[in-house]
Amino acid sequence: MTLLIKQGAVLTAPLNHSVDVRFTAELQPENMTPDAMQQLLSLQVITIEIEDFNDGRVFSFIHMLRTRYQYRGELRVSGQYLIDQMAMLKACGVDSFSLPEGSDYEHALFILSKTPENTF
Amino acid sequence: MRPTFYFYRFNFDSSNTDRYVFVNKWLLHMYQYSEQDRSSLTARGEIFQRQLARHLEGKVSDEDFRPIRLQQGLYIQRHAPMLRIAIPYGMVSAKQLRALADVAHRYDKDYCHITTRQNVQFNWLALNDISTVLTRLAKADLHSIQTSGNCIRNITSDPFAGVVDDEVIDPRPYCELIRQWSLGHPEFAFLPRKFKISITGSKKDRAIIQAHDIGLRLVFNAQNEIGFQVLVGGGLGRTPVIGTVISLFVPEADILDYLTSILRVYNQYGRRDNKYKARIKILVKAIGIDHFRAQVEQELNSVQQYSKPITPDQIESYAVHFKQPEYDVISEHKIKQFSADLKHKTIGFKNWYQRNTQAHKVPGYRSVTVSLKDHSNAPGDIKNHQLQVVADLCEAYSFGVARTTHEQNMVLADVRIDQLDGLWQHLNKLNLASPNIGTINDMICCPGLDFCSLANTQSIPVAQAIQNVFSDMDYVFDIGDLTLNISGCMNACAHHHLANIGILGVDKKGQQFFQISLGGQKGNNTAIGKILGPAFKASEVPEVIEKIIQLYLYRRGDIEVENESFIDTISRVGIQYFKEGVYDAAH
Repeated sequence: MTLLIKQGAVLTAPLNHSVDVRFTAELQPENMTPDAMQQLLSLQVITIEIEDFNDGRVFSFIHMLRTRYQYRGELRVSGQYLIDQMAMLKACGVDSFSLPEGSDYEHALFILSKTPENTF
Repeated sequence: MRPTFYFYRFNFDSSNTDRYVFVNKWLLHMYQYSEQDRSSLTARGEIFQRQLARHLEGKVSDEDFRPIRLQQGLYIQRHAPMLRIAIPYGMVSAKQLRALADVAHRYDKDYCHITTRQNVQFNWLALNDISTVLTRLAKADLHSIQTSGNCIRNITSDPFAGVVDDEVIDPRPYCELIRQWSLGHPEFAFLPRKFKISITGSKKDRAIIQAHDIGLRLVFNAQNEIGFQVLVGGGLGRTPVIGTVISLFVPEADILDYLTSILRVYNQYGRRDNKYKARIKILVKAIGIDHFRAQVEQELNSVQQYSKPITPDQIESYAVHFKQPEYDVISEHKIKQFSADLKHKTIGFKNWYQRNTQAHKVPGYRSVTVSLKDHSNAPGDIKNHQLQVVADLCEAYSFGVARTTHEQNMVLADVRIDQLDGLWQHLNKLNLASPNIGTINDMICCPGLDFCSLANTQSIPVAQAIQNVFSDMDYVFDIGDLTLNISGCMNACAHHHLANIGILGVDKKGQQFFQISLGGQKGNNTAIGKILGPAFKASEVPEVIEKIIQLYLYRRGDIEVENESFIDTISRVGIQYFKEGVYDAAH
């Protein structure tokens, strides 16, 4: 079962697994058409699936959604990120984390408890 | 809302009043941690220690643990883990020196190593001790965060910042500002590759700003406002490149926005498919400086729509930590007396005064370089008992603060001239007063194959063999100013490209060879050395270096310039003369 962490708690309810942005090596967020970006920004929840935890472009992408594009809905990440990156993802503007199966959610909660709420 | 965890706070806000500390003559003249800094460091330490424990229990794979340990400065090396401790822009207090000495004694082999980015390395720690070591160091406000990994590394600067007479603006408040901004920056922790920033505030560059990913030079504009000349895309390694000016003047209020814009363009467009082509220098070369600048300026417009400029009050909140100490007033008479007495001092003291001390902006003071290039040590190594004494000496003679240099020495920046003799005697007893600063013996050397898992040759034995050839100090003084750097592999940690004589270790079918280059320079006239010719065996290197020196001494007398320096002779005569001299003699 996939777990969702949100506001410092673990939710185990079944989730809608739809992914809005698949963050792959080919994706250049700057090249998204204005229409595609508008469509994305109109969503209540944007789920970004991270393909490779080393691809740090995703941090800039998330941050720009919060600042340049003023997105105020829920930002969720899923996929192959490291639990230790949750602090940085949160600071960049992520609100909820879909955890891969077998993850140590206690460690995830510990990390989030040590980091401040983001200000977005 | 005020974040509780400093490191991952994103909206940079330095207006917190707890950053102001009461500074008087009893406090140190370097950045003092606030309680918030300490609690953030503790929180970050708890996260890392828990993750390290999980790794030791086998719950985290090597691959997943790798970026975590690297961002914590922990390398898995040839013999033992290596832990690199950040010394922000080289400023280190007596208390911190004692903490480093304590760790060297209890957990390492009684020594540590000063790196070419002003940091400190421990080479023989046990993985099981890392948590304890980090906790001990944290008590002295020291940490290892971002001393490795693909993130913004420790900020480096001029080791004579604040005391040197050619300084235009003290860079240290800005170093601290940028250190705090970059530490734990959540957006830039997984860049395509590592990212190094260096800052100078002097006319003469002693911070190698032309060989950094970003080099900053503090300047005044025509309206007498403070700002930065910004260089980008410099770096050494496999592809040495001298940085290019991207902006002649970025106002101090906008510097973080400007840095953010450069980093964001790099983070998005830097290559991630090949780690040897991932540094920002490759991106700048590939798209050209004009295109790169246009992208940065476009990004800057966007960034400045939501960011706030840095206020003069915020800068003052950093500057207050670096207020000038209360120097004693030394009378002109005393200064004249000192100069007169100098003639009657021992030759040992005079040589040391000449080579290892330099002018200070305050009359009656000198800045002293503590040489870590004694023949008995590998370059840049310092033993536990020496660290302890340097801690005592900086308290007794230099306001309780020492500095590390990228040349792998240490500096006591504020010493009264009438106390130089006493200081020299203490240093001399500990082999820390070799009068060799700026000479061929003051060589920069990486740890090499003896310690490093990247290296493919042993650099330290070559350094020691060369030092043995040049053990006669009269000969060394006659040769004069000369830089010689030895890198054990093409990662170029010892900056061999920028040395007058650069030595690079290369592996050829399992055998170690050393390639020699001539004519490199750092500072205002930064230049990359030219390769002399085919590489030599380790055993041949000392005699080749000696041959090069003889060729120099022979031609130095050509012109009516007294003691033309090695680099000036190379520039005048050309490398071909040395090439013929070295290779014709060998065959």
